[in-house]
Amino acid sequence: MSSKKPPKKLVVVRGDILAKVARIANREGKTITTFANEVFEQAIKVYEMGLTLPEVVELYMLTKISREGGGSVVPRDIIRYLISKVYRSDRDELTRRFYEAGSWFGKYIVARVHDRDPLEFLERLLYANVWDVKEVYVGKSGGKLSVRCVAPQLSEEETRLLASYIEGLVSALGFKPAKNDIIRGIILLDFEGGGESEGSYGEEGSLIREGQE
Amino acid sequence: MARKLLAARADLVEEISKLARSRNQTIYGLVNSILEQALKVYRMNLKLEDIVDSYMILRNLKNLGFIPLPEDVAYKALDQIFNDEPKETVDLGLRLGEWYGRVLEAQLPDLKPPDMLRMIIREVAWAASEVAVLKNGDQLIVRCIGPRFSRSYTELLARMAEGVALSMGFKTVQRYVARGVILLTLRREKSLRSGEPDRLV
Repeated sequence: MSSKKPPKKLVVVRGDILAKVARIANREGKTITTFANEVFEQAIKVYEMGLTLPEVVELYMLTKISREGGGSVVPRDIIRYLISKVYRSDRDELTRRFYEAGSWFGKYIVARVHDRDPLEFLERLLYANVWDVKEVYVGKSGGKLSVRCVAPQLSEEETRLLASYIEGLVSALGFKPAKNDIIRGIILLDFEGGGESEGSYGEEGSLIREGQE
Repeated sequence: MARKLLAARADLVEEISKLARSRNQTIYGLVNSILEQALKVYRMNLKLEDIVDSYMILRNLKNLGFIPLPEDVAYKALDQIFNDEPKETVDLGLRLGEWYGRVLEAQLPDLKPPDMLRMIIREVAWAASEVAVLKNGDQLIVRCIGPRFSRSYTELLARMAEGVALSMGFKTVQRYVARGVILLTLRREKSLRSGEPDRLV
């Protein structure tokens, strides 16, 4: 059997990074080349999906926060069933529960993430946490925060429950609901205030579309 | 900042330099950024490979209609469904698992059944405190513990896992499912097609 090794090339890297890579490779019982090859393979896989490594790592971290904050992933049929059984008879109670769940999660984020302003990653957090969402926009201008979600596949009831969850979440970050416009598949929420968070987020906002998170 | 040389597989370096060009970045900048992310991940005692696979599975779950829901709301809803329609709920779990297993097998063909099962259970059962899939000859032993799971959620999850296993040619030969505890013994049933590599190995 041929044991011919694939050809190698040299790349220039920062000395301090290479030193750290060498330490980890050593700990893992690998050569620096093997370690770098494995990392490059994963990175190429990610970039080929139209994403970047920092995005994937951040999304993983946000999902980890959601996981540890009492979230779960369930088939969509569960929420459909819940709506069919409870929404019409006890709409207010169900809406309140979603608001409270969002509010609890918002407070959990504030308590959990000390070194960053939650508004910095709210958009990605919503993208990771909301259902079937195609676009999420979070923008802050002056004392006003706007949240927009576009999820065309959601029913009217699902959209309203989701909006309630988001309202609870953003309110827990210190904002007061100012205006809402909710129609099937589209959530437009405006908030005022922002307490300590105010002013620490870019004024322009940004937009995440499906496939480019 | 001091610069040093790193040797890597030529084809990978080529790919990275193509990526850098397409992103208007220098190879130096992109390689440093990639390695920095890898270091960040390893500092958290994780592996880059796990994070990338986890991302792919989560993205697929989302595409397949799974949604994040607060745990208590999910469990309460499931309990009601389970009480009203126990058989349909169990069937739903099995069907979803089987379908999902097939989709993912096509998308991640390099993942071996034990890894695939472990990753799917881990990505679905966020509240699980332990997820293990062990290989024992031609059998797989699945153990999933979630002290906060409701009875109905545990049952649905167990059925989903069995569905995933079924899609990979494994049948349940022994099962113990109680609130918060899933113990499954699965045995390979489907014979491999000639020339098909044994993914268990």
